[in-house]
Amino acid sequence: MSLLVLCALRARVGVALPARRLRTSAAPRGFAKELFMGALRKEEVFPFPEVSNEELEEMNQFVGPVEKFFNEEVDSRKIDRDAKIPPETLKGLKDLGLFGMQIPEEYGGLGLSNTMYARLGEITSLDGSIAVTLAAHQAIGLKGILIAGTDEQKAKYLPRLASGEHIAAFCLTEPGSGSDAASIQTRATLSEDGKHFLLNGSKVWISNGGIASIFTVFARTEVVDKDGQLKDKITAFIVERDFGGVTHGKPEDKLGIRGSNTCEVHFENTKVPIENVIGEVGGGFKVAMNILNSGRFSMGSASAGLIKKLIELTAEYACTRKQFNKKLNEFGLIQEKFCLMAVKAYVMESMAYLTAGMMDRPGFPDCSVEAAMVKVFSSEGAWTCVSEALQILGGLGYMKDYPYERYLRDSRILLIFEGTNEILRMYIALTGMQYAGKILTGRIKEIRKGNVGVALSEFLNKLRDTMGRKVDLGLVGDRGVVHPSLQESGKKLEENIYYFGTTVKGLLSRFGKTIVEEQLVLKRVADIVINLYAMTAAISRATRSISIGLRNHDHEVLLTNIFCTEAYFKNNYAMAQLEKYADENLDDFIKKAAKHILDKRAYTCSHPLDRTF
Amino acid sequence: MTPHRLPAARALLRGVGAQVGEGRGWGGEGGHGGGALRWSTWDPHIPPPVPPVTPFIPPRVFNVPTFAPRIPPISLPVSPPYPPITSPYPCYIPPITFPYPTISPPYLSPYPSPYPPHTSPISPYIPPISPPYPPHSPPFPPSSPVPCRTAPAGPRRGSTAKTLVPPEPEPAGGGPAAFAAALAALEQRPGRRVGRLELVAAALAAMPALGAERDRASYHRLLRLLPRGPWVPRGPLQRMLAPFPRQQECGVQILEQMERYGVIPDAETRFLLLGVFGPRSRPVRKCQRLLYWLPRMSRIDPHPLPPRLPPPGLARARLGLRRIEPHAALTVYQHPVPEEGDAEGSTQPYIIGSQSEEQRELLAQHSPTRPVYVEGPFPLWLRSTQLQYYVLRGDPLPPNLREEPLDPERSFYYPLYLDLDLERGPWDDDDFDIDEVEEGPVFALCMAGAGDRRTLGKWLSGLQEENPVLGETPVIFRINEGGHPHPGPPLPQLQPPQPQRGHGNTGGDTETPGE
Repeated sequence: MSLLVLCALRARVGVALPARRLRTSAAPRGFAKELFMGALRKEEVFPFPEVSNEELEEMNQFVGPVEKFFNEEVDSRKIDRDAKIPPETLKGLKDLGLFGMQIPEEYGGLGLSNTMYARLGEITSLDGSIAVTLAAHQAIGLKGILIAGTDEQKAKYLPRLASGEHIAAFCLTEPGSGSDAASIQTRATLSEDGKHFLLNGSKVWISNGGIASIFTVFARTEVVDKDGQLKDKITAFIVERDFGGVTHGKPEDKLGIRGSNTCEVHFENTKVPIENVIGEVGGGFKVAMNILNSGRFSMGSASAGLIKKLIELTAEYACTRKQFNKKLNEFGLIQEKFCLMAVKAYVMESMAYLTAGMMDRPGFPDCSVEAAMVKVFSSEGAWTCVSEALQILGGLGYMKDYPYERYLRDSRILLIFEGTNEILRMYIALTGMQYAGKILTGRIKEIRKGNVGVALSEFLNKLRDTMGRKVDLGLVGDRGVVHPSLQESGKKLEENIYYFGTTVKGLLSRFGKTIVEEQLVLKRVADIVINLYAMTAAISRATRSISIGLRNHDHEVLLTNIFCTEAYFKNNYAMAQLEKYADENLDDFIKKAAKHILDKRAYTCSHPLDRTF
Repeated sequence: MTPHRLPAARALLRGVGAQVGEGRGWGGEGGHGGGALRWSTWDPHIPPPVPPVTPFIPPRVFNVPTFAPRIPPISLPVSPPYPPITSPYPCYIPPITFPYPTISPPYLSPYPSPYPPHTSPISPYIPPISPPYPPHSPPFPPSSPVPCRTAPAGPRRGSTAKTLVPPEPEPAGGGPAAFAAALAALEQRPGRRVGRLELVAAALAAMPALGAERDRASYHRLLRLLPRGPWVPRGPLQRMLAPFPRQQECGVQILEQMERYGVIPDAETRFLLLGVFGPRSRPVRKCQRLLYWLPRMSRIDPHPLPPRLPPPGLARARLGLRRIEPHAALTVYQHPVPEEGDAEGSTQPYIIGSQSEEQRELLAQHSPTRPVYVEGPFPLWLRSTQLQYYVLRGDPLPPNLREEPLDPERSFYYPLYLDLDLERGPWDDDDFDIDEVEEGPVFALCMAGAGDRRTLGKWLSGLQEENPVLGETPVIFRINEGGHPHPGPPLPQLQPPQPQRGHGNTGGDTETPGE
């Protein structure tokens, strides 16, 4: 019966369910993917994206009041202590329209572009709990409706979501399922009349789970696939709390972002009308991936906002505190930390706005790899910088009377949520490898078959590489796009990109498609390509700053050159590790040691005080 | 002899004070017409200057007039004797000097091992029960005639009492205390003390029966029975001519038995041996080798067993199953009746099984149309003890069912495979080409006090509670009912006599399934 109904439903939707391949075919050319080929598409990243004057003015109109609100009305310490955002603060946020930043204006939202969203994220990040509440609401919670919802769904839900009357939550994680769709147990069964789905199951760690009224829920449904067999597939639903049968557990006690509401959500025979399916029945996987991929880029600007604030606070401290008749800021080790923070903030800001600018271009540019790179770089940078800031402050930073320890706790979640950094590294590296592999497969196979001509040309290419090839990708020089004061950094970037392409080619010919198993290799590949993107973003932004004469552009040049030089050597080291039989590569030993430990499930070395006689 | 004849640097270094003594130290230098500066290698007519061969005389320092610049004399190295080099780590293993002893490692010992050959994962060395170094050794020799009179059967010696090993029940023979008492009784007999060698041999043979075979103090007591002095060779010549061969062999036998039972000698052992046999005698050398090897070998086992095995029955079966599957959950399906004592499980045999989470999943995936098998008994050796276990297993899966194709819609975050037509390069395929024997999955393990079908059926019905699929699956018994597993090669002859544990078993603690 349900099968018939499903057939009817599919006929109504009118689309044969396509088998989803993970971005394997006909991928649009993106900047990051081209890096894997050793190519630089400079028209994508030069010049650095700009907003028009009108947009800038509009943005400043938003930024002012929001900044004022966060400085004056938000008591982060109280939020953290009570593990709850007070209602008046929430109301203030709603009044400012922060719950509908990216919802189009016709639905009552602010209709901000990605760039403007990133700009506001800089300010909202000053309180981790509020930032996470807002992000769970609009970066993932209602994104499903925004991306894949029908017009009726949008008209029905978005206005009240934009005003903050309803809060949204994103329900994907289950007790036995993190990133594995196969272990989702929540099930939606079609009712007899074919008008409702009955939803049963539980979800854990749902941000806003206790305060939300609209849930984007992913559940298994039975779908008839191409072969005419019944198959379980994931479907996305919009579930209102008023549908009945929705309960939530008590809020979880967390390390950081304590003010945000995280709890379990249970669905028991919740009746969901079939109009509330997002996308198609059985198409939930694609919806989930698109939501997750699109929500990440704003973490870069948020982290940068946090670090900029921290630099102000700690610099004040370092310039007043005296030790041994010297101020703290005269010590080299302290200066180094400030430089590090500034470099990281500058680079992640550049990456975030470059990516946001790319996403704001007309059409539907696929920037998921870039967004993942921004997320990885900025979350790790934020953690390092907050840690260094605490180091500058010494014991003061450890005290609960000061906000610094809260920043540390709050920033730890950045490395974990929205895809852990490890998983995103796999995503970055494998997506690029897939792209490069498609193009290079033919050539590699020719060599393996023993085609002398191709092999000889490869060999000559390698020979020229080892002799020290002059790489020119058109960044510097007469017709270059990089300002001459950044020439050295540009050359380093070009060289890195070229040799990265060679490395990728070498890896593909060595491992083929089994590279999926080589996670330590993929991690290095991802690290290199993140560095390359970061260098590109910094150079592009600094070039623009010099060219149009922004204030303190010499400082930007300095920071860019520092970053690029460091990243250049790190990349070279990583690429040396990726060569075959490299002495620097300890992967086999690492794996062996880990295997021993995991077999024993303990640290097995004898105590240093043990003796045998 | 004027000062300018001296090499310039030398003069500078030695300073004013040196000029005074210069005439003696470098007097023979001037005889070669011209000295070092005029000689050149390409002129064959001028012989090269011969470097002065004079004994080194330390520079003397004189009182220098106040007007002369005082240049401190260089301090040259003082002549030996240097202070002896002492290691910061006191270690009582004496350095082994030339001739380097031809060490036969214990595992190559020509003496037959008392352990059955099937204990491959188990080191033949049983760690000592007492801490290896007694915190306080009694003076040697102790108050005559017997050291053990003051050590009654009460608490064990300080060394044993301090270990973290829980106190074990006194062995059947009475333990070291009984051994000491026996020696004391011997010592009190009147008459000349003759026949020491025979006495020691008899005592060595009796030690395992008395339960004193792992007690270092008992060996020390034996050594104290031997006379100090008369067996020490006098002079190097006698030492060279293999003196006191029977006596030295007796000392070696004591050490052999210590080695066999993994008793590590300590400084006191060596001290006693030195007093009896003198330095560089065979027993002392053997002792040094034991001191070198035994501590190493006693720790070599990566899967150590407890110093003393738990009593046979449920507790030992638990240990055996833990050893096969360290991380699986153990379930006791039937408690033995009576619960403890010698006749444990004689009325109702114990049944204990282990099943890990993975095994449970495998069983849940097993298709009820295909049968599962109960197979066994298989042997498991814990030291010289044999246990028997049974397995529940299935047939190897047909290849088409083995790996379900990976669902492309599986991972939300990253692709699980690449859609490439490119295999691993031939030069990077590190896998060996191995012919593997296909075996079916093992779903559960069990040890039971009895190996009959009824007992094993109880195990299966217990398993069924957590594995409902077992209720629909045909189970085929492939057991050698009531039989023994293949015993392996016969046990070596030199088996230490096992104390009677009253279990009614002969030949060690082998758990024979009761019928």
